[in-house]
Amino acid sequence: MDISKLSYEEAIEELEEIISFLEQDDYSLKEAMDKFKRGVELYKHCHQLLCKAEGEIKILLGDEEKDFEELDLLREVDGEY
Amino acid sequence: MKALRVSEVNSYIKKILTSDMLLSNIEVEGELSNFKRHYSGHLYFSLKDEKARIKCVMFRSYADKVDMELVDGQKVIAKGYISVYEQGGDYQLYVMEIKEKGLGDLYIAFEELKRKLEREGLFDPQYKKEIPPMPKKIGIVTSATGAAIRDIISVIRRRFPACNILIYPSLVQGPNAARDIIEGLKLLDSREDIDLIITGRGGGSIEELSAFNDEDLARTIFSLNKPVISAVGHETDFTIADFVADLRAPTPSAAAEMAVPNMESLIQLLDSRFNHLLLNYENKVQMEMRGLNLLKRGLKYNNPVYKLRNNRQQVDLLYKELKSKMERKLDLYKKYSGDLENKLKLLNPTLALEKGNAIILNEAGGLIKSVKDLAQGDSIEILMQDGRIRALVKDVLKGEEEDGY
Repeated sequence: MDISKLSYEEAIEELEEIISFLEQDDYSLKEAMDKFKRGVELYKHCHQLLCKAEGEIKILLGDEEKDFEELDLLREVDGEY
Repeated sequence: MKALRVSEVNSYIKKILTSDMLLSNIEVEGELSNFKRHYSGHLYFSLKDEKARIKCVMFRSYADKVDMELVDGQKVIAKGYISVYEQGGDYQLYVMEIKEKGLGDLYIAFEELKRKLEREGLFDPQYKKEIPPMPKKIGIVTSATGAAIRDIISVIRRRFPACNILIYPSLVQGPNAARDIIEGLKLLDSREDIDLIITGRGGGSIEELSAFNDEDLARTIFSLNKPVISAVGHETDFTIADFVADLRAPTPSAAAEMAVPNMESLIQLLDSRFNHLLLNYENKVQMEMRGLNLLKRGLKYNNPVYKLRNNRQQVDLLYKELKSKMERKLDLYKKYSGDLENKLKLLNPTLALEKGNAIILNEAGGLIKSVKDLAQGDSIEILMQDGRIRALVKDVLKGEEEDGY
């Protein structure tokens, strides 16, 4: 499955599966290499999920008709938070 | 008329108030509110009824003598005197004794609603939704200007900066607060992108928190599809919203702590997993490498060139052995033939003749070794070193017939 679509939990789970797979002996070097490569990709993906750029902070502002508009707090309200 | 100074006015008012007979020894009945115990030991609170309130202070020396638990909402009778805090211009009730009058109406309403909702099962743990371990977007319903929202944002930013935040700014106290909060909760709950909702406010009196004790709000929280963390007031403040929410946080900061994981520790955990992966892979590669080395050694051992060299060596060895054996044999033969030569030399008749001996042959040429072989009249041939003698046997004398033998 495409790694970029995995959630953090799914990626961690698969990474752990790969780790325990590599702990036993009964597999080929080719398998080991493939699994390892996938493990590295999973690690990168998880790391990215944790460290990606700061999330946005938005505030919902509604008018009389309850039409809401999202305002970016970080941009609109300079340094208030 | 000469203008008075502020301190003069306050001082004058104080004099009037304290000289009043009624005010200098008074009992006041009301509901405890905004109760605060200062670290100095003095107690500050208000007493109120439906229409009005009065500020109260109870100094430590009196406060120490109070033997009951004082909480907001309690109906009490306070005994003391009215005076003025001159610096602030506030008049207050200086309480010297306090006794219970019975629980306050708000408090009773709170307890009743709590019991009712509990009976209906709104607080039942089986309905509590799980808090997502790593929410992508958190919706927050609270005042946009309070300390609560600032605390929540700063904690989320510190622990897990990747998390997105969407704020529904709402009233958090006053008659319209509950309706406003309900609207915000429903709006955020209907959005696809929100994983988790936090609602709350900073601490306050039971009146200030009353929006969070609203029955409709409680039922709304219960009906939401998304998990809700309530974060109302301080550690000691409990509201109905706290009981019905999927998770109760003692403070807004704590709600943020519960809502997002700590990025640093997750990264540490992730890195240790990665090291584990690397180690397992390296082990595998090393194991294969050892196997490969064994095969390489086997291959080398079976290399035909190596084998040929080995064979040649063996041939050389065999040759050497053969050679040495042959030489030994030759030596033996040489030695043997030398011996034979010597023996032959010894046996050579010519050699005997050289020493002056003679050989006697009969007529047939046979060698005569004994006198017994001869008789008188036999013709013989005597071989000497330098020629032959033909002779006739004149007489044969056997050994004993000779003189002396």
